[in-house]
Amino acid sequence: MSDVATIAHDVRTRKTSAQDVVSAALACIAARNPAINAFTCVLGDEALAAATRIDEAIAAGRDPGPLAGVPFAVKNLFDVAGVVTLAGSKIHADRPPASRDATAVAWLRAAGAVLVGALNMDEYAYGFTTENTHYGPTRNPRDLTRVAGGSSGGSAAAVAAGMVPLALGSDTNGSIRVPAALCGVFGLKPTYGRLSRAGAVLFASSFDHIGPCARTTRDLALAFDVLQGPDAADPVCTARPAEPCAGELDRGSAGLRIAIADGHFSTGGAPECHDAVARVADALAATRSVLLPEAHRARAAAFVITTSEGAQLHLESLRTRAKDFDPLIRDRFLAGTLVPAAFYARAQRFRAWFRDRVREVFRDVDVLLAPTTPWPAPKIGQEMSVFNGAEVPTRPMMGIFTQPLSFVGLPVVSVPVTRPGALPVGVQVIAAPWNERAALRVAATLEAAGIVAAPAAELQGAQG
Amino acid sequence: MNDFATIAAYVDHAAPLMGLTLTPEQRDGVIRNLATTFAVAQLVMEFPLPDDVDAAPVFHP
Repeated sequence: MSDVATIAHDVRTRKTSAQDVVSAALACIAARNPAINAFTCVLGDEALAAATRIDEAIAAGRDPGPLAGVPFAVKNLFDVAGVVTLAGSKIHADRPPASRDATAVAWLRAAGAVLVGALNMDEYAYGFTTENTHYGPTRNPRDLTRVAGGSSGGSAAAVAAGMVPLALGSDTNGSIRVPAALCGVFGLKPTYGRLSRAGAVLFASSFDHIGPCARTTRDLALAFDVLQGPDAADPVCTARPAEPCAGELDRGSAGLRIAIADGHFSTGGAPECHDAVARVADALAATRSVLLPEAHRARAAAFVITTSEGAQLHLESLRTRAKDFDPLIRDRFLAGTLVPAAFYARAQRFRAWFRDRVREVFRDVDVLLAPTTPWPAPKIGQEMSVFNGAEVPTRPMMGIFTQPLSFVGLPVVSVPVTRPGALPVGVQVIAAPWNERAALRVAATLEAAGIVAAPAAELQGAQG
Repeated sequence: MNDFATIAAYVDHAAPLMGLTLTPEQRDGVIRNLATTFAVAQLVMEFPLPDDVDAAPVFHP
């Protein structure tokens, strides 16, 4: 499967047809998904019908949109008209199908992209591994014995396996960046409030973001540009004008002040995750280190707010059908209903304090670098891992480097650092609020230098 | 203060007030998770935050 930019160009110029592209994507899904379990729903007939309409529009001389014929899939917490929005749960499977598309789905479709299916996730997005008990774990296309990361694990895995060139995920504490890193693809978590979340099942609204996964920086930017814009249906969505990024990528990183995030982000976990940051910093000639003060407390505050908001959202179900929750998630939600309000309110006030410190840091730098995860992809079912010499629970620790950043809504691109013959690791390219352009320019620079790349995974024994 | 027995007693009293009926298995998991939350929250609660730092909710009347 080619990339977003190539597909859209070739379909628009009639070098190929949307029907051929979508047929190829569906064939690839049929061949590869059984081993990976990224898709919970494939919309074959609808996708082929949509592709036919794109081809007809082009034949009639109408503009099919900038993403003409690009197959995409979405984490199954996005509403898709006519499809039940699972949000990774058994409980929501009893609900009626969505009556309309989520804003992001509608805008991608309006741009000519073709939705081919919905993707697996941790239940209600409360996890970092997509070991979903109801729908099965999503397997990492780079090593099928390992997790894809989460909670947007289906999104990153579908892209890494080459089943689709573009997928939407959501990120509350790292849920786009973690799976992007573990599966070796690019993931963008934009600034909090940049993209509309309307029609996406929320988890912890204080931190919920949506964003794309793709195999190139350009593809991230093309999707991001289509998704930008105000939307009254999401009260958090900004009224700021869109700031298109795709045309900015060729500017490189010249003039950007780039530093390594020190302290909390610089120790613990596997050495290769920190080595990857050093490689990226070298390539960018970044030698400075800067401290985001009290980042470990930022992570703690994000933890408290997440568990409180998430539990509140699902309180009715917890009261009446707790047994229907994923056992991996259930007791955390139940415990979240009992968190003292003083913890929550203080954590929210700490968030404002930390935001002010982060703003101060970004007066002197434009971009920060940090590892995305403490380890490459763990084995499916791996309960414990080593961090700073101590055995720690694997699953919640996957977000240790991502949580302090989404806590204050910073835009981040997780870039996949090339390590031939080894599992991929990700580096977070972090920019000041509303400066996605800087993060994407740095990602594009690294990609042009061959430091980061996301080739489609080779699956043993798989065809297509 | 936040020892396991205290957390367990809190869970046993607070869960019914929230309308939750916990199975023995769920109770163990809830106590374990809430103990973690109390420990994590300590990192936030012990930090001396000036009184004039206000939260930043997104609310437009």
